[in-house]
Amino acid sequence: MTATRTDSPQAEKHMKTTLVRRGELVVGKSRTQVLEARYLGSCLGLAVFDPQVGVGGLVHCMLPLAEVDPDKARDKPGMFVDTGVEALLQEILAQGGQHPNLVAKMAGGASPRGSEGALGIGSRNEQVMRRILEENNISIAREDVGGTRSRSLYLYLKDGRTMVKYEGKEVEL
Amino acid sequence: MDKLDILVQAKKIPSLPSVVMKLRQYLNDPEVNFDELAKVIEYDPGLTANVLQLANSAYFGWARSIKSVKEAITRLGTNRIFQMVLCMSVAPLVRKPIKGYGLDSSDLWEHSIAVAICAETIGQELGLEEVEDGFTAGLLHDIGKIVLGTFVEVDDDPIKEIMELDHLSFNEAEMMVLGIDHAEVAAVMLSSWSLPEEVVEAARWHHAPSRCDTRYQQLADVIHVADILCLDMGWGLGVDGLCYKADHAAATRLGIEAPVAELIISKTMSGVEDLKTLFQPRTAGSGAKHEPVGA
Repeated sequence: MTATRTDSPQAEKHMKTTLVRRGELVVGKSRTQVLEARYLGSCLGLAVFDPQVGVGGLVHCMLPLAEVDPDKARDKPGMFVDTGVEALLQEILAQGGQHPNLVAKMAGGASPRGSEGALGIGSRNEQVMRRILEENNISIAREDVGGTRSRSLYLYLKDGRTMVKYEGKEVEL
Repeated sequence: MDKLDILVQAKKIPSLPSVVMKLRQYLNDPEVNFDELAKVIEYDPGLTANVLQLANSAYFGWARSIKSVKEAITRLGTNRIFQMVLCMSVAPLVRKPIKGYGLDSSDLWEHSIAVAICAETIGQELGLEEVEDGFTAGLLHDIGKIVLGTFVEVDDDPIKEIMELDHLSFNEAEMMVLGIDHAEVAAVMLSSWSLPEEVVEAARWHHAPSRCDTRYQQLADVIHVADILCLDMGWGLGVDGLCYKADHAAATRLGIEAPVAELIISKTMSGVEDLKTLFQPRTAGSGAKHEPVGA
């Protein structure tokens, strides 16, 4: 994280914020669009952007692996880290993104203290995210994960800038 | 503001409508007369319309084929009817901004229905027979927040400060600053509303189920796990966020493992999507004949 901002993305002129709800993914090229994944508790938000082509997207993953509920994964691939990342990358490439250009940033994966075993959803999400990105030869440029902090993640499709908002503060990722 | 003032306020909150308590009595009657039970609901036309709407929802019901209250009771059972009426009665209390916790108008409602659905799903997935009240306890476990967050408008700054300084969870910090936490406030309210002892105790110990009397511990464990999983998913995160302690012993006592926990969240997500639509305020010009359910 590099800078502190006080203005909200919505305050920027001509910008339109699209909410990426739990289990959803949104990909686009509009230079006036900001994508927002709100209330990321243990959920992970992954923002991927191609700065050369100007296409990018955001996925709001809730759970690590689609195998726990394949029917739901077919209906909502973004809900699971494995199917969500694959679907996000596919859509970005379909809209002209080039794999070598892709910049990935992630936020979320928090948990209440003492979360372990069955209750350790945040850390399982993070582990699977790292594995899936590695399998896809994508390195993580920036991240803000873990801890007990709930976050919101924003991706500006204008330039690929990503912001993380928590406890009333907003910082660039 | 001290504990005594808070307790006075908690007891001032109007109880649930009498129809809820009447239905509760019918639940315990094995020879319940369905005509008589239907009349209790049909006495209120608004309630009747809402019961039919919920009875035909994906989560509660049978997808648009139930046409009368009696048919709803016969096909769905008295427990389901009670849950529906309870939802309608609780919605107006919690579907408002809870300023002291930084919750928007839909946040506490969304959290409450998510925990209710999650608790019921835990009971179903683990085959627990003794958690019939999982839905009810889940729906009501955080009701204490409406007292601390709206009626007495507790200043959260000292709570957050002591929480960070002493590495406490949010409810422990509430206890330090106010002498009472939102879980105990909920228990006081539910007890004064004459809800069953196990629902009261599950609310009281939902952040510390290992301290609950063993007679009621299974339900407290279920509500604790459901609450943690729903906070994980971001349902109802306010200024307290994820600043609670997960009691792993509760998950161990229930015998819940990671894949099951994840399946439970997935199923809860479907239920929340179904119910949220029904309770969403309608926009002007939607052509709706009735108020939204629970309005």
